[in-house]
Amino acid sequence: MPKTTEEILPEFSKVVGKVLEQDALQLKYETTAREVKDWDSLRHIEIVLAVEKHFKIKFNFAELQKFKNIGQMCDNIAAKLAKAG
Amino acid sequence: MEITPAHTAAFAALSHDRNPIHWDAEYARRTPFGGVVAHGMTAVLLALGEWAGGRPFRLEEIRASFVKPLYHGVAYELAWTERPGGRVRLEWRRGRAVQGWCAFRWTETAGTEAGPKLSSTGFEPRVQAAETALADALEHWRGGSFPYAMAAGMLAESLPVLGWRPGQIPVRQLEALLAASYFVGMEFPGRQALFYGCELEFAPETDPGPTAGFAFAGLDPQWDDRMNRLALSGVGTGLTSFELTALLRPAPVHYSPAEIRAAAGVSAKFQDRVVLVTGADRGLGAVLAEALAAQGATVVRHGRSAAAGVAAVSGELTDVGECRRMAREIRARWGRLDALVLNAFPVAPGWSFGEANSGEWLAYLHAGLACVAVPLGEFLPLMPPGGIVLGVAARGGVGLGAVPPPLVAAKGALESFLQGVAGDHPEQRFVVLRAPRMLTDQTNAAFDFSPPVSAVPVACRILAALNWPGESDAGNWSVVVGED
Repeated sequence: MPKTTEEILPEFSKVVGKVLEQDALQLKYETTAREVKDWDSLRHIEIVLAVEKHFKIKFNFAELQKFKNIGQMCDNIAAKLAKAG
Repeated sequence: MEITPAHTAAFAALSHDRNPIHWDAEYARRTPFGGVVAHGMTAVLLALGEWAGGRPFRLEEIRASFVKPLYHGVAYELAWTERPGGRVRLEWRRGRAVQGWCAFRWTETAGTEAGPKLSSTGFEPRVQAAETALADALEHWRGGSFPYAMAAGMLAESLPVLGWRPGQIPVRQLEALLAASYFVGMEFPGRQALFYGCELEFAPETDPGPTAGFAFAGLDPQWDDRMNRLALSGVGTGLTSFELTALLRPAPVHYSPAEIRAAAGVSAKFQDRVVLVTGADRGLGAVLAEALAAQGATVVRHGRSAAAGVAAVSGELTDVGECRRMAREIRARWGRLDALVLNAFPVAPGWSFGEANSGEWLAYLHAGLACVAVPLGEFLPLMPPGGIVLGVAARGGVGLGAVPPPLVAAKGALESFLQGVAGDHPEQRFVVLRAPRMLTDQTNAAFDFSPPVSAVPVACRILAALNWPGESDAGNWSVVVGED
């Protein structure tokens, strides 16, 4: 069954938390990368790759440039998972 | 743990990794690091050596991540945690921020006191890092192998410098670590490489013997063009698997004169005006100098090296004597200055508050302010009333893709400083431009979450803000924002 953004958020938080080594990381829909400690450009690469691996999806370059917050990334993941069935 | 130039030299001699980022100051200046950085693998060896304290051991596996560039002369704090099963994690930190780490599994060995004798394998290391086009390199290395040999003749000399004694670790394991650094820095992706991390899993069998050459084999390069990231995996001598990750840094930034003139237009707005631009070698300063010239200005370009045939002065801006000498030269050659663009600024450090100590912050603030205050003190007397002094400040903001915090602080000081001077000099007009984060050599990263903007439109904004008396209603102090 396709997942909703709300279902994806905690999973997403877990993946990001693993990369950033912050076990208790809880991201909200409105959270932006700027607000998360240690989320810099290099870590962003690791995060994107880890998220892609976890959800078995792939973002394109334009998508990566457009995400304004965590929620938009999760919306995109939800849409991709729904499409993949 | 402090990395010294001697460590870097010993590592380079042993590994043959002579990527210019580690020794060529001029090359390194045109990278976001602003200067030479140490090999990430040097930090791994120093940290491992300190942890081992002379104990001989072999690695079962090792993972390392080079999170931030490491500079000579900085005291990094080394911390480690040990878990059952011979699992260790070493971290080197600056303040509270992790700059890099390695995690490994080890077993104690008897070692070999004298160290092994290695025969020559005929490997000829590169003298200069490869600059092969990526597509060609990908094709060349896919499915291929890479034979390598460290400079065995340097073992006895280099290892003690790095805190090791010969024979403390199986020689092929050491060679695998060195090969990883050499391969990324010198072969693939070569000159523009940024080594980011590695994962090596060693075969249970120990040393394959002194005469066997080392090689990475079954190479499988995976290129991610979204992030300019290379993941290279395979097997190797004494290795059941390995993966190296690297980023490919873009070439130095170049804004073409044609592009600048097309955007800025051509006019006579600055005809017969003498304008000095500090830091006009590259980045915004170079763009601005070109744009001003297109408006008829006599542009005096200040830079580190004055090119022949160009109206230029060269000298250290933070040195009163040097600025005085440049002021004399300007008076002798051009008679006066009508506008002074204070653009040059020290490269922003990559640290935050808490990562660097207050002394390092204050030193950076001082260096930044000196780049403006010292030349202003010496050049202001060259300006007849009605001139313009322009300072390049920065837009604030925090976090990813924003101007780094030390730069925000120093540029804020610059802005306030010029406002103070404006109060003392009503005969001149003072303008500060709050510039966005622009694409320059300092921000030219392999991947950026929110890419910096072009310097060309920012230079156009500056041109529009440089109004002579009678051309604008603004008083003698104004602040302009460099982007919509």
